Amino acid sequence: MANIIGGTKMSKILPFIIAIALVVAAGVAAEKKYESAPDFTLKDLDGNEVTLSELLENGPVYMECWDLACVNCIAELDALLPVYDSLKSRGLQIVALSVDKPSDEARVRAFVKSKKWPYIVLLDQQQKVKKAYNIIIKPTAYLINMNGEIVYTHIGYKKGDEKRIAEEICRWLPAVDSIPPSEKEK
Amino acid sequence: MSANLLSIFITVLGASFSIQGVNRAEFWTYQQEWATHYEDKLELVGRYGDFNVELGVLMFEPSKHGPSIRKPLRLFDYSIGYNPRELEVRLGRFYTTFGQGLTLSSGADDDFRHYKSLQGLLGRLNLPFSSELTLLGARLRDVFFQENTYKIMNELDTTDQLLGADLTTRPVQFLGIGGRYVRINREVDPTPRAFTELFGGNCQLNFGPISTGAEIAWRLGTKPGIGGREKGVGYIINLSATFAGFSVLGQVVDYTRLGFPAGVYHYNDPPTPIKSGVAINRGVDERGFGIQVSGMPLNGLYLEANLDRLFVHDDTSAGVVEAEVKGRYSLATSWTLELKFNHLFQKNIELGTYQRSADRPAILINYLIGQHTFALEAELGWITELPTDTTHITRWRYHEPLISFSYGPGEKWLFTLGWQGVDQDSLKRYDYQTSWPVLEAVYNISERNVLRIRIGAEKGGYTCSGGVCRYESPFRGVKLQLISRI
Repeated sequence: MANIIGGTKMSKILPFIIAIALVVAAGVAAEKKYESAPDFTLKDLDGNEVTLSELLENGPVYMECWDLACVNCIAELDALLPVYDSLKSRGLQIVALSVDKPSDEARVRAFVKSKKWPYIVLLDQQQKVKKAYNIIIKPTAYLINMNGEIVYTHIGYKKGDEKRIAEEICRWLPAVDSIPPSEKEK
Repeated sequence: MSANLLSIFITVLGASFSIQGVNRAEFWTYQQEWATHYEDKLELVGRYGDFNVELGVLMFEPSKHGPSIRKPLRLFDYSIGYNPRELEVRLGRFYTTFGQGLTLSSGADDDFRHYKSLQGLLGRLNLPFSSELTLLGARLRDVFFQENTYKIMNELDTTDQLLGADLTTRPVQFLGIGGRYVRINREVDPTPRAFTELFGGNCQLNFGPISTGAEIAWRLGTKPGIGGREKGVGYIINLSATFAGFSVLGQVVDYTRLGFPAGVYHYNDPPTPIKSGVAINRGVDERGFGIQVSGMPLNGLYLEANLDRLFVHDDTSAGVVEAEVKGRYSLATSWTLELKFNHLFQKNIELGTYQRSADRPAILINYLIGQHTFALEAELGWITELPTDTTHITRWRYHEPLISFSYGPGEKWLFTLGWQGVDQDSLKRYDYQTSWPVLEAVYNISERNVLRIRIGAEKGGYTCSGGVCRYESPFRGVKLQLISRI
C-alpha cells in the first residue's frame, strides 16, 4: 500500500529515471559553469509583484530563505545589514524570502517592520520558490549574478560568515564605472 | 541501443534542459538494540522552457524496533507542470493553501518532517488587478514523522476526493479580497450527496503603518454515522500597527467545528495565535487571542514581548497561555547577547497530563574573534505538572536545565557540546531518563554539501509547529545527516 500511494510502483522505473536525470545533469553541468536561477514572481509585504529577472537588471541579488522560527536565518539577515549598507550603491539587492505559512503573514509583516530591514521581503507562502530552488535547510542563500546564474550558495549560518558572503558579493558587483550617476546617488 | 538513445536524448535536450535537486540522507543508530533508521529524501526538478517535471523520493528504512513489525515507507512522487508567466497547470503532486488555511491547507515542512501534499490536477491563472484564480481536483496525503517513524496519517482515507476554487484580487493597492470553496467527498460519507463543503472569504486593508485583515469560513458537513447536516464556522482577525519604531500585532480567533475531519489529520488548518505553535484541537473548538509588541528602540537592541491565549468555548481554564519576553543586543560585530523568559501554561493539551506550567529563563551569548566563533546557550526550566492519573502522585515539581557551548574554528566546521537534564527520575514523558549529553559536528564539505554528525542523547518531548503537535521519543545513539545540492 505504502509503495504506491500517490504515485506508481517505484522499484522498476526509479533507477532508470535517476540514471537519466544524473547523466543529463552531468551533461548540462559540463557545458555550463553556473546553473541558471529559476525566474519567479512573488508578492512583497505591500502586495506589489516582484520578478527576479527584473531585479537582476539593477544588479546582483543575494536571496536568503528564512522563516520566523529560524534563529540563524534572522541572525544572518541582521548581520548582513552593514554589508547591504556599504554595497547597495553598487547595485546589491538583498531578497529576504519568507517561507512562513499564510497563517503567519501578519506576524511576518509586524516582525519585518520592527526589524526595519531595508531588504526586499517576498512572501513565498505556497513555497513555489523554495521548491524551485530545492531548499530543505534554512538558512540557505543564493547569490545570483546579473546574468541570472547562481554563482554562490551559502547553507547554514554562524557568526562571521557575513565576511565570506561580502567577499563573494563583491566579486559579482558591477564595476563602479558602469553604474549610472543616478544610481550612485541612491 | 539504450546508450545511443540516451546520447541522442542528451544532445537534443541538453542545450536548454536543466536539472536541479537536493538530497537529504540520514542514518541513525540507536543505542538500544542497535536499531537503525535510514532515510533519504530526494527532490529533482527538470526544466525545459515553460515545462517542468518534478520527481520526489522518500525512502524510510528502519530496522526492526523491539517486537513490533518493521514499517518502512517508500514513496515516489511526480508532477508535470506547464508554467509560463500568466498561468500554471500541474498534474501530480503539489502543495497549496487557500487564504490562511481555514478552508484548505497543505505544505511541506522539512524541519518538522511533515509533508501534507495533494495529488491531482492544479490550474492557476493570473488575471488583471493582481488577481489569481486557482482550481484543483486532488486527493490528500498527510505524511508525518512521529515517535521515530513516518506515518501516513490519512492512510484509510486516501481515496477521498477534494475539489477546490480560490480567487484572490487586489483591485487597489490598499485593498485585497478573496473568496474560496472546497468540496470533500469521502468514502465514509453515507450518501453521494452527503459531502462536506467549506466556504470562505477574506479582506486585507493596508493604510501606511496600519494593516488589518480578516478571514472567515463556514463548514457544511454531515454528522458522522447518523447523517444530517452539521455546521461549523470560524474566523481570524489581525491588526498590526507600527509607530515610534515599535510594531504591535493583535490577533483574535474563534473556531467552532471548522477543523475537518476531527481526527489526527485535517484538510484545513486554522491558524493558532500561540507563538510556539501549540493548538488545542486544530479548529474544532478553539477561541483565543495573541498580542505581540516588538521593536528596536536603540541601534542593535531588539525587544519582543508577546501574550497569547487559546481555550475551548465551554471552559476558559482549559487550553494554553504563553507569555514571552525577549531582548537581543548586538555590540559591534563581535558580540551578541540574547535574554529570554518564556512562560507556557497548558491544561488538557497533552495526553496523560492534566496541567503543566513551565517557566524558562534563557541566555545566549555569541562572540566572534577573527575566524573563531564562540556561542554559549543556557536555559533553566521550572516545571509544575499535574498528571491526569493522580493515583500515585498529585503534582510533580522539577527543573529542566540546558547548557550548550559551540565553537567554529573557521568556515568549514562548527562543534557543539551540549547537555540537557531533569532532576526528576519518575517521568514517563522522558522514558524515566534524567540526562542527555550530546556532541555535534557540522562540516561544510563544499558549497553544495553539508555533513552533520550527532553523537549522544536527545531529550524529545512534546513539540508543535503551526498548530500540529507530536510527541518526540527520547533518542540515544548516533545521527548522520548529509545534505547535497545537485
